[in-house]
Amino acid sequence: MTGAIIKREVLEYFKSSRFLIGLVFTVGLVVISTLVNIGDYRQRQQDYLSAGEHAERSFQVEIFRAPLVLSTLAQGMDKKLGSRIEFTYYNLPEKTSGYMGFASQSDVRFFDFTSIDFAFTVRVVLSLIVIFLAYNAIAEEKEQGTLKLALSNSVPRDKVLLGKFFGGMIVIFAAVTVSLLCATLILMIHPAVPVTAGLLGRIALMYGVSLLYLIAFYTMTLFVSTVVRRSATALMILLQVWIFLIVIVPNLGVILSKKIMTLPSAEEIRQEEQSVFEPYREEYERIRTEYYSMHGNEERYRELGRKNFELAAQKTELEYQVRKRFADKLSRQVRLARDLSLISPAVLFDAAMTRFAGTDIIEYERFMDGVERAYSRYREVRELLYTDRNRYREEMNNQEPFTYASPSVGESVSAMLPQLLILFLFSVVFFVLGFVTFLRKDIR
Amino acid sequence: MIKTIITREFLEHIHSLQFFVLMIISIILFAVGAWVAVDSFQEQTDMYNKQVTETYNNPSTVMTACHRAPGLFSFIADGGLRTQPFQVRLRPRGSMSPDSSGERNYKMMDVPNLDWAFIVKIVFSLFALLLAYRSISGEKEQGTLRLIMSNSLGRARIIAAKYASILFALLVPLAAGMLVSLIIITLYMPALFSPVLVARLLIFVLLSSGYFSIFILLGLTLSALITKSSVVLLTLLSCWLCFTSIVPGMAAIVSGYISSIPGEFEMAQKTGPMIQKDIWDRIQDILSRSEKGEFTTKEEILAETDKAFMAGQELLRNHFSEYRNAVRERNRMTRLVSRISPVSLFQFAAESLADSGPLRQDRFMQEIQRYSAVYDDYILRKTGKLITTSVYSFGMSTEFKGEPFTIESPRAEEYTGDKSDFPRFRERPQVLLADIRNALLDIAGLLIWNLLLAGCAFIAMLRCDVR
Repeated sequence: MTGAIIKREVLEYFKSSRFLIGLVFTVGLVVISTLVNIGDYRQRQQDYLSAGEHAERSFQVEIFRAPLVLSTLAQGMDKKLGSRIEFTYYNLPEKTSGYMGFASQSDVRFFDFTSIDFAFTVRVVLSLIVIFLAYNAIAEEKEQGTLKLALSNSVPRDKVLLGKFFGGMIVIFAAVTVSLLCATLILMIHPAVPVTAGLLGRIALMYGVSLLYLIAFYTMTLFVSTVVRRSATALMILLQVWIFLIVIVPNLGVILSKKIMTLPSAEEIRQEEQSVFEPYREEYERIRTEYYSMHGNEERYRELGRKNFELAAQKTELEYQVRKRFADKLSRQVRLARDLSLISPAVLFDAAMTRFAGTDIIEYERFMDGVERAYSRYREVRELLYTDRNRYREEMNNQEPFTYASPSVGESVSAMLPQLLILFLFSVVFFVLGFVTFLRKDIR
Repeated sequence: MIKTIITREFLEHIHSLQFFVLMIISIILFAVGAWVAVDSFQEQTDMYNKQVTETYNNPSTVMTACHRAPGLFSFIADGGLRTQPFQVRLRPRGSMSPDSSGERNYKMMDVPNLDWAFIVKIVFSLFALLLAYRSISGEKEQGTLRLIMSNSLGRARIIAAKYASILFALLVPLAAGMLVSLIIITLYMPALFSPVLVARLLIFVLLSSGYFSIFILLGLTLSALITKSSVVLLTLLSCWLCFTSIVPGMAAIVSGYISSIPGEFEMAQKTGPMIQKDIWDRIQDILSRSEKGEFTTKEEILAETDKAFMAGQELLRNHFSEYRNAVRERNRMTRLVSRISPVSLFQFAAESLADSGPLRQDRFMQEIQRYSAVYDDYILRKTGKLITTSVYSFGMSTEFKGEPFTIESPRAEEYTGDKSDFPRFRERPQVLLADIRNALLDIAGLLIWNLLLAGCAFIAMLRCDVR
């Protein structure tokens, strides 16, 4: 019996103009946005490769951050965070900049131009379509009297609801599958995108998260449709909840996190930077002055050079630690903003999608850890310049390319388990609530 | 008769549950928005006062700083101004380097500011559609449309009455929300309350009415054209998504394709060769001439290298300014393309009204340029020379007649005497009329959308089959 109800529901959804318009709109958006994002990715990849060819690897070291392939599906922070970092023994920045270095900061957006990608389509468009498909699943049947008719047969209530639930699930499954399949096919066909098995695994995870997210919205819609008498009221409530969960909660999370975790001012950071090196400053100034004004006496000159280098590097590292603590606080503020808005499935969805796509701040932090390691190595090699020139030359000729430990798929999944669990619980709670309400519902 | 319909429809709307929910949402959002705006304004004002005091307590002829005053009306529309540099370092000859932007947490996800413009453009536009989508098709489904048409009232009047009732129904929560917001804002910032603020608020109400009027007319048009109200709603929601997210999102991409503005990487690639060609090659040329014995003293060489450094730095400054102009041009193009959507038109008009957004930042930069002439004049009076610099400085060790010496880019001189007459950077206040003038193009756009959709709604209603 449940099978017959599922079949009827699925057919009804598939035949409805609502589903057709929604599907065409979604697939169109996914295809266009993926093509456009691939074009953008290709440009960024070309820039990255060209920049890498001319990268400095001697006195100063330039490191470039490669664009991430899956930013074509979930852009996250990939484009927002800079692509270039440059360090020497007297300067180690704690963050990346754009290709123009310090001038890049002028390239900030004025108006909130949303980045459109697969994640956006699911988070905003498909969630809205799910609400729109299911808001009248129970309420309208009651309004039209068909619910009474259906229940007057020997069909138990639980089977009716289960039939509607699974019917809707199949429709959601179809919509997400078609959309993501189109996007994946474009990625696979496009010559600019290197698709690997690992990448496909990540896409599969993104597919699972999308399903989980839409099911959460679907169960919530079914619940509201069961509770409310009129379908128009159900729609109104659902749209308000939608605005609340997708627009307002993430915003409030950010506002509250900034209130709870206040950041030190730029002046305070500057003062701390100065104070950490204070015990060594006098010696550094003395050595520096002597070193830069010295001529002749090769041995003394080299000795002063080494001391000057050591103190300059120490200053750089101590100041970097101060700024690093600040950068870590920024990350904690981001996590707090996310934790404070965990009641929104949209926030959970975003966190999981960007993690699986590698476009969240964790990936960026791993990159910065890699930069820190590269700096340590650079310092070791640079020191040889004053102690063992032959080895220095040897080391400089055999420099290894820059790499960093990107989080593996397994790592990402285990880190995202709590979020995925909450998303799952969200669906379970609403399903149970809807189920109980429907069993107790007065259908007159 | 038309008044009766308006009253009846209006009462029906305000008695509905959806109206009650809209009222609550509106008040909560406006209240939260006001709290955030007050907090942010106070923080920015503290920082502004501190930085300005610091600048004028330590006047310098080498480099000074210009600060943008916090926007008084940013609670109406922030327009992304918080992400723009509010402090610009100014060196002689108009060499500017903007400091880090106002948004300190560069790792934080982008969330829109909860200002008035955002609440109206997202929440109220959606509610305009929700109130309008069943106006005709719903009545047709229930069979009441036929009944209304059997009266002597013309179709145009019916649609006008429906339009007016929804417009009035939306103005109530808007007024309530604005009132709550104003109470919070004036409690913390009593000085803000002035006739200018009242005038801006009235214009904002008119602007908002003109904006959600577009969505009401769109809802009425489709409601008259399409028989099933559920299909009407889906089509309307698709249009809403296009206007609010997809068109502005795509505008950034489209503008990149249609404009031939160089990208950041392209510009960055030119910097290295430029330094080599315009600075080091010239310096090398001078040193070669020195080896040939063209100079008799070190001072002669230094005079030549100073000239070379200054000329090269001038070219570098122009290069950075070219990059900044390219960024500005790309932003301008994006905004132009996104004006297809009424949401963008409303956003930009509200930004102009609130004196925020890119126009405000451009004005700030123009004011710095104007001040730069005053600053240069002061330096000339005090030190007698203006040294052009850029963000780069250069130096190298060389030899002259076997004696080692260093050549480096010339540095601006710090005047050590009395600097009590140091000129202060003061922005000229922006008048309301100038803001309205800036908003005219966007207001005209909104008007065109209204006229176009009013015509469509009227024709759709006339051709509507009531059976």
